[in-house]
Amino acid sequence: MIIGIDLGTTNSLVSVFTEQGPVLIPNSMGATLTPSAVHMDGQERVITGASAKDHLINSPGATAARFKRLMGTSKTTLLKKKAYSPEDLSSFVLRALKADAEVFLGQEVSEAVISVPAYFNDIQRKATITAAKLAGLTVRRLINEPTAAALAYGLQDKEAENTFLIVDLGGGTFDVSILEMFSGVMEVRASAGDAFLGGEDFTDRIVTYFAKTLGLKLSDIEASELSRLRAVADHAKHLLSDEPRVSLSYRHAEEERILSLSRDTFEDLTADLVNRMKVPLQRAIGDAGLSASQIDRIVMVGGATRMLSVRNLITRLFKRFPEYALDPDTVVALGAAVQAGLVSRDVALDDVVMTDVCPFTLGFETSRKTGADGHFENGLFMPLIERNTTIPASRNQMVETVQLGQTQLHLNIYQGEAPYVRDNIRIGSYKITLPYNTADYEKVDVRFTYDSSGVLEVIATTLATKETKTLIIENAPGAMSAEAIAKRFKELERIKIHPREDAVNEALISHVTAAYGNALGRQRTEIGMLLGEFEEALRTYDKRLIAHTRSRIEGMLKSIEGSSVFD
Amino acid sequence: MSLTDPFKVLGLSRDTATQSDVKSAYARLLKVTRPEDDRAAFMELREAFEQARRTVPVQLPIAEAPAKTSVETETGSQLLMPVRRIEWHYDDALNWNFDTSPKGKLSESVIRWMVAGGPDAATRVPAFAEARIALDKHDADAFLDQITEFIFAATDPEERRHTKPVWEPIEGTRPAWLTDDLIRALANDIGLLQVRPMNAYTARSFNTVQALFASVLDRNAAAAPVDVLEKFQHEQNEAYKDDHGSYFDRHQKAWVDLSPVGVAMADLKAAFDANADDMVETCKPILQREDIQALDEFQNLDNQLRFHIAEASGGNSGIRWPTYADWMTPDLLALLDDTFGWTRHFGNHPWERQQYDWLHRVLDRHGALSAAADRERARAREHAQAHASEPRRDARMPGILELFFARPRTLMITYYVYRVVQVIWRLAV
Repeated sequence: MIIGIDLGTTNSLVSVFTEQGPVLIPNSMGATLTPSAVHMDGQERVITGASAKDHLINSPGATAARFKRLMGTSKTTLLKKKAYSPEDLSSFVLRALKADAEVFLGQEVSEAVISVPAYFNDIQRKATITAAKLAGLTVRRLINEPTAAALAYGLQDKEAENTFLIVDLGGGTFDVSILEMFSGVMEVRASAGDAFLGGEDFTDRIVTYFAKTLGLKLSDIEASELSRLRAVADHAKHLLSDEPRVSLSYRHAEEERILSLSRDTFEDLTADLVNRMKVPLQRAIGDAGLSASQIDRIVMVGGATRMLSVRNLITRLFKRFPEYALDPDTVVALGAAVQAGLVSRDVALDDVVMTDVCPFTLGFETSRKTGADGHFENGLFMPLIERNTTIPASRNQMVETVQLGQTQLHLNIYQGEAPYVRDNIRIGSYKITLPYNTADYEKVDVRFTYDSSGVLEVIATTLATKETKTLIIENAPGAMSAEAIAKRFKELERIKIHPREDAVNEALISHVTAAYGNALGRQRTEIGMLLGEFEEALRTYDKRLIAHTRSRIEGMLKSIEGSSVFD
Repeated sequence: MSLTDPFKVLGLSRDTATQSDVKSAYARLLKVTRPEDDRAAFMELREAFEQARRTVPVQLPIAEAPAKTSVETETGSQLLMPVRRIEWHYDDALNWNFDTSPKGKLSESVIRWMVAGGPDAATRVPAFAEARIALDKHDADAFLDQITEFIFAATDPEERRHTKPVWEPIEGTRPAWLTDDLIRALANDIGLLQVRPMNAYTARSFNTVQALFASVLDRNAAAAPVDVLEKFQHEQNEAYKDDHGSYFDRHQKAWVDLSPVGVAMADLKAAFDANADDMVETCKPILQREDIQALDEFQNLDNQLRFHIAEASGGNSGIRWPTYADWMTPDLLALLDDTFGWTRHFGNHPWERQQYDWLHRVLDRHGALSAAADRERARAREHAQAHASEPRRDARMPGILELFFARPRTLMITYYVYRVVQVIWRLAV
C-alpha cells in the first residue's frame, strides 16, 4: 500500500487511495491536519502535532516548527541541546504520519508519494527524500504540490478539455502551475513560483506590527513570549479573512493588553508580499504561451489563499473569481493519494495519465574564447534542459577541453535562468579525468536526465576512453551519502516516540499549559485548577475517569477562553 | 532527436491530420506508454507529439467550413476532404509570385502576354475577357486587382511603395511594354479599372494606374481617384475596434488608442517627453492605475514600454551601446524595473532574449542593475532579520580560538598577557 503525504510548512496530512477515491487519514486526535511541529519532552521522547505546537509556547527551547523552510540547508536546530537537521525534524513528522496510516489501514506501510513545492530545487527535493528514508519510508515519487491539486480537481471530470491555473500559497512557499487537460491526459504546461513566500511571511508582518504597538523591539522579546505573540498574530490573520477588524487580548508583563488590527492596516503591511505574487503568475502564463483570458479555470490551493487580499489580487488580475470547490488545506494531500494510486496502478485510474515539467532551466558552466590571444571568459551558463520541458526528459551536449593536453575537467551543474552562472544556483559538481592528449581537444558527452520525481542525473562520457561517470553530489549542503543516512537512521530510531494512545492527554495538558501562560488574574487561577484536576485524574490510571475529566475540562476551557487565542 | 517520422509514431497520416487528431492520438498512446514504465519510449512519443503539433497547420475556419458540410453522412473527422493545395511559384525575371488557382493561371497568362507587348490582340483579348466572365464574382475582381497591382509594381521600379505610407500617392513611370494599344485593350475589353478597388493598398495602385491610363483614355480622365485614407481608416477601425472606442484619426494619420493601456502608455510617453523634475512622481500613479493591473493589460503595457525604451535607446538600429535620451534617469529606470521586474527576466523567444539583453544593458549603464541587486539583498537581509528574531536555538559557545584570537581587541590582550608572562619568566630564570 502506498500512501500520499503532504509535508507542509505549517500542517502535514496523510492520505490513501481507496475504491471510493482518495481518503484523508485522521491522526490520533481524530483530526486530519497535523501541525508540522516537533517537541522533545522530559524523557527524550518526541511529540509531534498539535501538542508540539502548543509546546512552542511552553518550552520553546525544546520545540521546533517551520523547518520545511530550512530544508536543503545545513542549518541545524537545537532541541534539548542536541542538534537536529531539518531532515531529522521532518522525519519525525513523517514517522508520526506513517504510524497514523498504519493504525488506519491495519498494515505495515513502507512506501509513499510525497508532495513538494513545484519551486523546490534539486537539493531541497533530495533532502525530502532523505527525510523519508530516515522515517523508514521509500519515496516512490515526489509530486509537485500544484500538480497534486490539479489531479484532485481533474479527477472530478476526466474527459473535459480544460486549461487550469493553479495558485498555491502555502505556509512557506508560493507556486503557480498551468495545466492542460484533454481526454484523460493531464499535462503541466508551465510552473513558476517563489520558494520564500508564504502565509508565515504574512504572520511575520503582523508580529512586527504588534511588537511595535506594544513598544517592544523584536530582538528583545524572549523566545516563549515571541511564540505567544506569534500565536496571537496567526489567530488575528485567520480572523481577518471574515471580519474587517479584530481585537485580541494578550498578556504582556503581567497586564492585559488589547491588540487590534484592521483589514486595511493588514493590507498596507503586506502590500509588497501580495505584489511579489504577480511575477510568478505572469511568468507561468507567458511560458505556457497563453493570455489570461485563455485560462478556463482558476483554482486556489493552500490555507493562505483564504486571505482576502490574495483572493482580491487573483480576481483583479484575471477579472473573474477563483474556484474553491475543494478544501484548500486538504486538496494537495488528496492529489498525492491519487498519484499514489497512479503509481500502484489502481484500476480506477486506468484512463488517467499525468505529465509534469521541470520548473527551472538546468545546465552547466562553460567558457568562451574572447579573442585570439587565448583568453577565456569563464562562468557562462550553458542551458541543457530548458525550463518547462516535459519530464522525464533527457538531453545531451558535446563539450571540448579548452586547452590541449588538459587532463581534468570540472563539471559544475547549475540551475537557473541567468546567462552567467554566478546568478544561478549550483546544485553539484564533479571532476572528470581525461587521457593526456596534446594532438586533439578531448571531447566529452554530457547527458542530463531529469526523471519524473524531479531528480537530476548527470552522466559524462569521455569519448576517447568510453569511460562513463555518473554524478555524485559532493558539495551540496544537506546532501547525505547512503551510509550517513543509514547511520543517522539507527540514531534516530533510538529516540522514542511518545506513545500514541497518550497523545490526546498530552495534547490537552500542553494546551491547558499554553492557555495558562496567556491568561491573567482569576482566569489564570481557574485554568491552573483545571490543570491540577486533570493531572490528578491521570494519576488514577482510570481510563473512564480520565476521559470524563478530559471532556469536562475541554468544555470549561472553551467557555473560559471565549474568543481568545486558543481555539 | 529521433529520426523517425513523428506521424508514423502517432499512427497518423501527414496530409490529413488535424491538431485534435494529434492530441487524441497522443492521449491514446500515452495510456499504454506511461512515463513511469518506459522512460525511453515515452520520450520518443513526446518528441513525436511536439514535432507533430508544430507541423500540423492550424486549421483556418474558412478552410474547414465547406469540408464540414460535405461529410455529414460519414462519421469521424478522418474522412474529411483534404483542403486543395494552391502552389505558388516565383518568377525571378518578372519579380512576381504566381499561383496555380484558376484565377492565378489566368493572371499569369495575361501578365506574360502584357509583358511581351500584347501580340495577337485580336484573338487573345476576347479569350481573356471570356475567361474572366467564367470566374465567379470575387475571383474576377481579385483577378483585376492582381493585374492592376502588377502594372503598379512595374511603374514603381524604386519600390517606393514599400517605404511610403499607404495614403501617400505614388506617381508611376510608364514601362516600355505598356503601349497605348495595350492600355486600350486592358481598359475597354478586359475591364481593368471598371471595378472599384477592395482595400486601401489596392486603392493606391488603382489611383496610380488610373492616372497613367488617363492620358490615353479620355473617358477615365474625369473619374475621381479613390479616397485611400478613408478606406484605410475604415479598415483600421474594423480590424482593431475595441470596447473602448479606439479609432484611426484621419487628420493625425495615427491610431488613437482609448483602451486603458493605450491611455496609460500615451500619458507615460507625454511624461517622458516633458522630462520634468517630478517625472518619477508623475509616472508612479500612472503605473498603479487600477484598470491596467489585470494580467493581460499589464503584459501589454510591459511589452509596449520595453519596445519604446529599446527604440528610444537605439536598440533596433544595430548600434553596440545604448544612446540615452534625457528622460532616461536612473530613478525612472529603477521605477520601471521595480514594476515590471525586467532585470529578473531573460525572455523566451530569440527576439525576446535579444530585447531583454539590450534592456539589461540600458538599465546597467545607470547602475540600475546593481540597484536592483541591492534591493534584492535588502530583501534578503530583512528576511534574515525576521528569522533571526525567532528564538535563537542554534547559538553556540565561541570556541577557544575565537575567544582569544578572533577579534583585534582580544588578540591584543592575549599578546600583552603573553609578553607579561614572558617577562616574568625571564626575571625568574
